[in-house]
Amino acid sequence: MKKKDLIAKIKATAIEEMPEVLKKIDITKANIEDVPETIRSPFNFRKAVSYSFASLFILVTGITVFNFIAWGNDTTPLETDTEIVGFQTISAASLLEAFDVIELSQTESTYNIMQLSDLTTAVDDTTIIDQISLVNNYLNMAETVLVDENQYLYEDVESDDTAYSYSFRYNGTDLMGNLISYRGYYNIIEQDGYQMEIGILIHDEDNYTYSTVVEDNDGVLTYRYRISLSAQNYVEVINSSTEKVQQFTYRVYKNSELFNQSEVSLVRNRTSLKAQIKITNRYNQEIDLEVERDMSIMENQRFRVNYKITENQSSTEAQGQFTVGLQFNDTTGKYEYRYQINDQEIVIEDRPNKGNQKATEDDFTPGRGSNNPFVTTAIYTEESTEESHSNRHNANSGTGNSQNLLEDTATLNI
Amino acid sequence: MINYDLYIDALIEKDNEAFEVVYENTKRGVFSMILSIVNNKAVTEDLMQDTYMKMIEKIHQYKKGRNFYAWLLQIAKNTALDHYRKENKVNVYDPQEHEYLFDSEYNDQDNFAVYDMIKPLDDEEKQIVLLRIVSDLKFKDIANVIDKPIGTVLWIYNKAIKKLQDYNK
Repeated sequence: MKKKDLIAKIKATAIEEMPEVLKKIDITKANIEDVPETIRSPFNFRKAVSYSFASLFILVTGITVFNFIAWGNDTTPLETDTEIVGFQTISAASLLEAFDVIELSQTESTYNIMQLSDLTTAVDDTTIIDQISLVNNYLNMAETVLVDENQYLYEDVESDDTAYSYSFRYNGTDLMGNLISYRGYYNIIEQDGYQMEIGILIHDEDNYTYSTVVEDNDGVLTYRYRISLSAQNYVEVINSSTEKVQQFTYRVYKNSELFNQSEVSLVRNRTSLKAQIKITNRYNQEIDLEVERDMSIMENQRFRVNYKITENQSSTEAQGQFTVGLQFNDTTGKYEYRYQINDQEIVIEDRPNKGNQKATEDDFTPGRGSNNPFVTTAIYTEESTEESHSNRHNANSGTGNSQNLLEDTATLNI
Repeated sequence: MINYDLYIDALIEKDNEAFEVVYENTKRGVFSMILSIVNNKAVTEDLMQDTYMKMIEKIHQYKKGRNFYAWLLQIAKNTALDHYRKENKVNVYDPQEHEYLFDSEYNDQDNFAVYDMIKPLDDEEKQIVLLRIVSDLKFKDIANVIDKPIGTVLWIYNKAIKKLQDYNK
């Protein structure tokens, strides 16, 4: 029996058998217990003074750090090894989820297109509309990982699974402000003389496996992560960052064949976090997206996207803007992406279910990290930790050569 | 999920409308929790009533800003376990304490059909599966209720679902 059917059957049977006791409960007969007494400790002058000084110190430090961050130049948003590795694995998993959920169940022609008004004219060409199904997969990924710095957390945590030595978690928010959580577990093993990470990623009911893939080209080692739903369906992600740009290359494989490729770059300036996504489609067209997330209204966020489509890296086929928000479909009981293109047309696309519980400040408050070791990290983090540095030295002497894997790939710039 | 804190003052005033809202939004969770410990329709019905009465009686113990639903489910769990401990007729099992569960005599009659569907699961797996599937509880809240790390809860849940898929092949 399929998982979905099994869950539906258990749920339906249980609900059918559930006794209805509301009318049998007479709460007027309940004897409400008294309010528990709280004992207040006496005022302690010394403690109060020490708290005041501690608060002042934290305030001054906070302002200094804020100024340093807010008024600096454009920055690369991912800083620690956990953030860099976590970003790669989680973004790839969400991309894999989108391709698996949406692409397999939908052809390019099944989306709904609605005119805002019969009086408005349609966009000059439908080039971008033809690509929305493909673009939608990347917007799904962006919804998971393109989040304002105060609304995400990558954190090393102690592994609570004896099968794995290390663990990390990711908390982010979807466009409704709901919490999106991933938990990763991994071991570092040695195989064929190379160190590599092997682990799992858990997101709600979905499990992904991931591992480091090592290529030895005449002694030059290159590393990438492979995040898999099955042996045939997976995404490979390559960290092709330079010292100035955080950039990742994604390759989506279906039935063991390369299905789609893209490049993503991330940039944060003083006001916003942006992703530049360059997707190559099956017709060898290049779709460039500049994606910015508007988080000013937490419960109704949206993406603003500038797009450009070029043919064979030469003439521009189409360019413009669209916005993407969510709307609830009463029939399916799910949220959908609502694309408004060049202020004229609306396209509705599927969206995999994400969180449904509002995120709180606590979800983005780090605990004490355990400084997990990782086999591969980015070029610009070579001095980030001694521990990861030594691992990289052992296993990843070829990170600077990851550029030679960039051909026929896509990049995501955040 | 609704903001239960908005109803606490009304519950203290024994407001029936507020109680009905809270009941309708939590009954599946309460039922799931009791069902994971008890497999008897009549007893389950009694324990559900007891749970909600205790919730009203102890409402001052709940502090706003905390997880009301998790607090209520803890009452349901303790109510179910206490029932058997007080009766002292059967052996009791708390999946988190690894003790023996309930008397088979009780379960042979008037049992829930859904219980047969999850028969291959151990008791902790039953608890997590029912709370997740029947009450739509978040894994984070389940972890809170059964006092286990969320990673463990996810792991147990996925393992349990695979076990059920094999069982129902």
